[in-house]
Amino acid sequence: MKAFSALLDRLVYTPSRNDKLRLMADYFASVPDPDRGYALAALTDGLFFRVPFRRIFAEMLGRPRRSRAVQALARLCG
Amino acid sequence: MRPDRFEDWLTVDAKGLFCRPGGFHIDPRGGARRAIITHGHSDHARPGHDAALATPETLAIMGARLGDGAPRRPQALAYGEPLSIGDVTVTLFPAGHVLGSAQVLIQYQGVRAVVSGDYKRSEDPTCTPFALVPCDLFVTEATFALPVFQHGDAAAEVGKLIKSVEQFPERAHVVGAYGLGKTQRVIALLRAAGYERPVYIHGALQACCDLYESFGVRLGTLKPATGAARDELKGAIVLAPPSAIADRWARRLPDPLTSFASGWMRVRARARQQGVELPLVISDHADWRELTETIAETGAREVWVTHGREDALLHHIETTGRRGRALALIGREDEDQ
Repeated sequence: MKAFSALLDRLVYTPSRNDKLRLMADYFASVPDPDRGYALAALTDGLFFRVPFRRIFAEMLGRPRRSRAVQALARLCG
Repeated sequence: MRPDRFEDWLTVDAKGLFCRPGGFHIDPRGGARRAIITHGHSDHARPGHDAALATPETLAIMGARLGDGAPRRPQALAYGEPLSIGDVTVTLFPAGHVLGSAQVLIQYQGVRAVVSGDYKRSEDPTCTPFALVPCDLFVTEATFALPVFQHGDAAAEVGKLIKSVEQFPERAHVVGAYGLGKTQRVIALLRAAGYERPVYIHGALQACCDLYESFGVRLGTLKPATGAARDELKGAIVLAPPSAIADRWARRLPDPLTSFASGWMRVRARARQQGVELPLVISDHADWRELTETIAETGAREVWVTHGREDALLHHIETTGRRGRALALIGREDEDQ
């Protein structure tokens, strides 16, 4: 998990596409399963959570579930 | 002057904080007749003082950096040695900020005031660690006084730098670091992590590194970056003042990867604005937790805040039942910002 967060941190600040690829290649070569599997899924929009995001955000924001802010946040989380 | 009414005998004038019964300023701006200097950074150790009292290290730093502006009558005082000045007794204690940095304990008729200058509690192999000095009045900085500032482990940050050098061995890693304190701390952390290759430094950093070495801080092999062959700098770690990392100077290096060692790197936008690819959160100032814990541990019933993000800290101080006061001393912030 820490290695993945370190990778994300590096990717966010790295402008060059080739350098990003190298950072990812290094990550996948050095981090064991199942972490890198989750990482691959997270990076390729393949990670789905069985969590009621809409309800959680509605409670946190104190807004209705159908409000635009709640919908937008829920979409971000898949 | 009632000793328990701190404002009676510790006042703020145009030059800064002034101790009336002792007849001296602390870290004054403009030339002062008598000054006590907490440490060598340019926003605390200013030129043009007549008499100045400080640790031997701080006096050496002032001599090296200020030239003609160095104090005319320097007086060295080692940590922990009480000295009577006028009606007060002054003792210097380590502040853990940079080499020679001191907190100033002023005792006046049984009342204890500590002016801490800049300080940190985290480990630093290049200076004496912070000493906790119980007091009635604690005067603190507030450079990183927001809860978002949590500096974390400096050794882990340097680990990121070493890893990046392994991943990108063809790129010169240019690390922005303040010349006094941060530069030497980063080098010492690199050495502690087993990095034994030469560290290349910008010419502006040489004098302070030499000074640290002369006080027994081992920095290993340092080489000037200017004039080094281009191939030699591939995969090298190059330290430079923050103003130089985005400058033409850095562009001569092979495919430079810009890094910056500063507590400000906790703020993502700040790193991005400066084009930093590898932000390293390494600070020589106390973070939010260190500030609030230190205030509590001193036992002070009153706390004055000199400079920085004082609003949040004052709010916190008042919620703990202490009296807080903002001094809003002008012209104080990290040098070279």
